[in-house]
Amino acid sequence: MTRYLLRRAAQAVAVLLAITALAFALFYAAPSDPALIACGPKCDTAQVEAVRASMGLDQPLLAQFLDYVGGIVTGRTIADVDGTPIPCPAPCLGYSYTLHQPVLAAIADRLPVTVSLAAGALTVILVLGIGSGLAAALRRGRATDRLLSGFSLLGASVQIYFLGYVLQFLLVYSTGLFPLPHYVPFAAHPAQWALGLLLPWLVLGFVNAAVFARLTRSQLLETMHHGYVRTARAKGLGTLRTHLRYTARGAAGPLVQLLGLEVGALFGGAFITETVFGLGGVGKLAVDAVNGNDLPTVVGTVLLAAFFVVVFVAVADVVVAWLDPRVRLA
Amino acid sequence: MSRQPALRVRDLTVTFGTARGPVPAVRDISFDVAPGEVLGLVGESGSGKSTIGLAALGLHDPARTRVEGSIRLGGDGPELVGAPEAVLKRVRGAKAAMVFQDALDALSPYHTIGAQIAEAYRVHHPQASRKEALRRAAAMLERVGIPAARASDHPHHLSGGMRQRVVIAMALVNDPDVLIADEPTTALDARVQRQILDLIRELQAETGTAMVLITHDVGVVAATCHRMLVLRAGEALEEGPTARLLTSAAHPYTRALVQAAPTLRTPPGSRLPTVEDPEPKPRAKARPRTAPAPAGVLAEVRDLRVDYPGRRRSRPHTAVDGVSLRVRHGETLGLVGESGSGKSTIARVLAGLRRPTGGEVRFDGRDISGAATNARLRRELSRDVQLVFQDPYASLNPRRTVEQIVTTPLRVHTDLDAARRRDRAVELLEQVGLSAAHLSRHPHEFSGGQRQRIGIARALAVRPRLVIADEPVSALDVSVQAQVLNLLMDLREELGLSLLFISHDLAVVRHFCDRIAVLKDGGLVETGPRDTVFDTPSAAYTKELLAAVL
Repeated sequence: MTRYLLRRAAQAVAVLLAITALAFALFYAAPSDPALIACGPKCDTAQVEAVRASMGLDQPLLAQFLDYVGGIVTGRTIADVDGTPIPCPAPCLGYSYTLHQPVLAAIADRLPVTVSLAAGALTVILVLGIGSGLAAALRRGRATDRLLSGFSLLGASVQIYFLGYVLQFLLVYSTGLFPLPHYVPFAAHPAQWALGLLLPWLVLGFVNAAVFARLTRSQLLETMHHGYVRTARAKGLGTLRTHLRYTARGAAGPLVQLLGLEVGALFGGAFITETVFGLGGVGKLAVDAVNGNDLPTVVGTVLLAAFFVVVFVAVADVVVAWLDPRVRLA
Repeated sequence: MSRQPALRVRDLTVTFGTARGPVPAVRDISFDVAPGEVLGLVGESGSGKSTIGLAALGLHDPARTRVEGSIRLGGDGPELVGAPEAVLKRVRGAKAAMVFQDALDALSPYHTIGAQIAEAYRVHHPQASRKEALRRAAAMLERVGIPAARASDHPHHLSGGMRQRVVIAMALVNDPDVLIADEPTTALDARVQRQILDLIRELQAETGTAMVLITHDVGVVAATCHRMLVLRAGEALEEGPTARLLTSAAHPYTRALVQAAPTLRTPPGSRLPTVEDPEPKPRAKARPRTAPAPAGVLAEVRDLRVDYPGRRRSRPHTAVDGVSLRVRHGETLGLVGESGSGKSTIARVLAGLRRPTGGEVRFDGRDISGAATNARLRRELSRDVQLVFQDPYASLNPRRTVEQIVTTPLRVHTDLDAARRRDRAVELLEQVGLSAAHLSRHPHEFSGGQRQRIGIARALAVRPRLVIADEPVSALDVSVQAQVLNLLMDLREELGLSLLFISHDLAVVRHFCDRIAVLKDGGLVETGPRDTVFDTPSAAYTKELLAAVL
């Protein structure tokens, strides 16, 4: 187990390094000039060059990359546009000259919004997806099954930006049933926190639950045909206990793995959700950074999303191995 | 049959609802099993034997299955047909228990064997503590010959025989009145099968449980059952004491079923009786008692070694080590051994599908050890060496017609045009007992035996010099097995084939082969002419295998 975790961690670091390198290559080698943008439209050539030097952009790309990676591990000091040194402790993801704050701080400010969105949406996905998959499997071939299948197909085919705007129009602007989506920190007012995010949660959940519903249904139906489920019934176990102890356990593995990927996808998809509902999370930060050529922030958010995906996929693997003793973590 | 029967089945009819309407699986079956008695339900696939077993525990899905008639445990037990789930729950596992065929599938991979047995106990003894149930499970494991210390193992840590012991322990933990065993030893090697059957009989006699043993294997019935009931297509054909049905059955089907599988006393090479032809004419020219006069060597392996790479850092697994074998022109060499003995690996090497780790492989004097990695050499080899596979369902491409399947080797290896290939396909189909009308059909339209015939036709298409048949009849019902063996014997005479015949079934090998090689754990135990190996085996292992034949 320890060896597995170590190897998995090494793998994660390698993946993250590769992604950093790729993001670097893509954005820093791009034709736009960050120094020019950081300096502002009124700068003359000499000023721009000075800014470029203080930002470290005159260094070779490889040196910049090594500086960046070193900063993540040990922290570093970054010069602002005018040359004032700004301490950036580890893990330093660089300094945004647009926002005038370290990228990590910028992300940390907005992360609670994105995490709140993802956590709530995930809950809805689990309840809706697994619940309707379970109901469909137990009533296979009947009206409930067909209705739920149709419903989940609808969810899968509708897009967040469409459903999100439609529901906002219907439920917020027209009828006032829901408040306009907004973010209140959980610590400040839990009820307000939930109420403000309820609509995005439901929309995200509905759209993403379809895959879970389908997988849950097919996994359960497959597991039900396993001999050990029949054995459990032949022992005299009741239907409910059989399904809880045996069928559910057999069906859980692939669902957990999908869940691991889904967490990553929720972070990746956050920018659409946050744009649609006007929430200022990491997704919005990333989009603004791309539009504004704020390269350190772009790379930082890309790295963060990759980090979440890598971590949650590894966690899913460990959970699967815990569920099924036949799986060897190798 | 002194007192009340332990299990009383009357007019049992089971109908499955399918997309194409109701399909009867079992019709009007009635039988009794007395306490302490063992009744064998014998039949081929589709005879409804397993359906009866499931019905006895009410395990059919009521939404899809209609069960009619009457099933009672004991003379005054509750009626089980149509009983509410609450009644069935109290019966299942307590009064009537079941042993399933495939223990790996029947045991939960997620729980330890101790926990699974303990659960079976606690379901019916809710007042028992977890600890008490685990103690009881451990005792039960000891009783079926598994050390109690292994109670915390998961099923995948155990061998096939031990898993079956666990399933038996689980079924007997509540001292049921009736035990239903559905093909309890079918997936096991002969020696293990013998041990498990002995164990079942011993425990059954000790507890006085009434037992219904469901099987396709007349040998198993002969070794375990007091009485037998022969089923065919869901109907009862004949019932009576085992000894009488085995020797003087009234129904021709029963006689065919009993005689279709060769035994160690069947004259080798004789035509086997089948359901269609219960009393076949003896073969015009009997297979000589020993191999034909020593002819040249067609294929041989010398000091063969095959390793399979291990996972990650684990060591490679040696499947075959130090085996030397030869197949002469016109002879049939039988490879026998239990699962994991390396039989199929040797076949793959000779067919050029697996590169040997060490040793020599020659076909007609030519070194073919590189065929697995050399496409040209393999192609040339496949002109002369063809394979017949075990599973006739998996070895034919379901998307192709019979014509495409049979003519593919011709297209690859000959320059016959389409019309000539078709003529040859018709000729081949007729040789294997099918006809030109079958050319445009797809594999799913055929029965298992017919599919195996198609597989044989495909193998013979290019007139190969060596045919490798890897368990060609072990997936087939006994009467179909007899048909296919008869066919192979005819074709062998007619075409003068050289064959490498692989089987775990000693009686079949003895019936079909001229020379025998016995394998164990990748090594050669003994090799020699058929009669020498069977009548005066020199290795202790061969004797053990022969003793396990039912």
